[in-house]
Amino acid sequence: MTGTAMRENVPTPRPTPTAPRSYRFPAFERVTLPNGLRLVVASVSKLPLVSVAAVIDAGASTEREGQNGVAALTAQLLVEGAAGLDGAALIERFERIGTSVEAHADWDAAMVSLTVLAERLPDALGLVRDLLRAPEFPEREVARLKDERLAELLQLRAEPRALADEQFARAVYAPTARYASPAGGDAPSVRGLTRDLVRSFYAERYRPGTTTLVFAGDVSVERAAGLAIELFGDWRGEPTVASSRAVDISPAMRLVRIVSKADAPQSEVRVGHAGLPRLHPEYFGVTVMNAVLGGLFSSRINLNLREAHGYTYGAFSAFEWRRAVGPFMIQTAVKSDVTGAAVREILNEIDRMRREEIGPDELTLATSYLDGVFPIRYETTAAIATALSNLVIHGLPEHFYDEYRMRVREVTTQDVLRAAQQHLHPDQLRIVVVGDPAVIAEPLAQIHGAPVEVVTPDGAEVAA
Amino acid sequence: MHAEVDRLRDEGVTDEEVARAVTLIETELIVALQSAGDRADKLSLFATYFGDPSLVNAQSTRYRAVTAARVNAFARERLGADNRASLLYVPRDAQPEATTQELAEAGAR
Repeated sequence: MTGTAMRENVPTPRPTPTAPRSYRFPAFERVTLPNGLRLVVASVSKLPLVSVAAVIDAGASTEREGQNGVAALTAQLLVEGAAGLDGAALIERFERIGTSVEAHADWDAAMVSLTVLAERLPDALGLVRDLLRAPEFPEREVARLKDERLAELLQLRAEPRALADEQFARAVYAPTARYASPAGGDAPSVRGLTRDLVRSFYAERYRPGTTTLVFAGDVSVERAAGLAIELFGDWRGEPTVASSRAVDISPAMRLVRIVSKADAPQSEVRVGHAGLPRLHPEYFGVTVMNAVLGGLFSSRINLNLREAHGYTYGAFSAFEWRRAVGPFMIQTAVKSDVTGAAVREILNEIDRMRREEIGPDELTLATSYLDGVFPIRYETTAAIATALSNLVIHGLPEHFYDEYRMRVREVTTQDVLRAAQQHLHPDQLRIVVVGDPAVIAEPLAQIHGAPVEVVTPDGAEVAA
Repeated sequence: MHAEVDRLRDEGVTDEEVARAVTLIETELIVALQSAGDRADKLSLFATYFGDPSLVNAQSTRYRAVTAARVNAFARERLGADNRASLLYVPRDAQPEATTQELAEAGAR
């Protein structure tokens, strides 16, 4: 080896670590402008950076009937033309100040976000103003983004994971519920979207009263408020009251549905049911319970399916937290010939979770993880801005992040048992599998105690 | 693609383009210093390659000192047709001779 060369290049002495400092989520302040625009500002001056997130109450759940996908399309179009600049010119303006901007909408909000050197904040916020107040929605870009979405939907049809997610949502929610179809819209709804629909969605939902500017980083409340008044103070307009779309759940009995993919070597498995709304008094008990069941690598479901049985590389569970009732879902991919056995193990783990208290070690493992990972999650100004955006979107208590770790540590084994008994519903499970019916229909029917449904990737029923 | 590389080499870049690139790089550098993991990566990179982790602190200044003239000198020296390799992935049943011919023509320009 090159011992001599190594010695020539004498490394600097290793620093010795100091005692760990205690962690606190950054303090933040709120300001509301006379026009209703709200600000949330967390001053964190570790580095000369500021993250800005504009959070607009213009998510997919505020869309009108028959316009599924208009929220996502509108948000994406903000960066495709504004204040006399086309998409390419806008990108160049952001690059000049050393950043790029992201705009998208999910179920509960539209979001425009960026991170920039603190000295460039006024320029950056000026551009954000252009996007939010003077978007142009060019006809050509409307058509292009619609085509992109349609092409994406076509690709997803051939992708078992996406197909499983989509069909699981359709199995959980009633057909009329917005959550039953994808947030970005499905093919028929996207084809029906027009520039006029985008413009009227924008006019109804993108208003000062529906918008919050979140700042995190090297910026004072005074500076953020001053810039916001200068750039957004004369923004006017009242939002139209959002139509509240149904979140009806499908009839509550167990269902087993195979999405047919002939000769599939493996099955994509989804097991779950309607979960809980984000603002729920038992959020912490449920979060710890899910961590033990399938939220962590060392969770019961993963240890069972992956480590003990070798059915899969990974199996996980999650409550998807939305304003309304989001889904609870366990997901995994297994070899076709063990699909039935894997589903049976998943059902066993759900039953065990509801039957007996977890051990103290399991509790400590889950709570230590959630407690310990918390500070690492919020190292960056962008992550802090996202956390504060969620505070706004879900109307979380003001001290939510301050108290998070304490609340996690307070969860007991009895709390976990109660959360499992109250919020896991074995009799209402939706078991959706994308796979080869010739191999998996029989074992799944045995578990179900009845014949299973088989559908095509389009959701059309296949005659037995 | 060859034409764009040639254009950059022959016509050069402007001060404005360099300023834009430097600003983007500088933001990326500072953003990367936020998380303990990325910070460790940067320290280890400069310690491993240059034996001096504290070089991380000099990066912003050094990038800011880059001029269009330096970029253009580098491009003229390094981006010539004599210093290029082209690789094309083609479908299995494509005509290999035609593809080779196309590559040769593009490279010879």
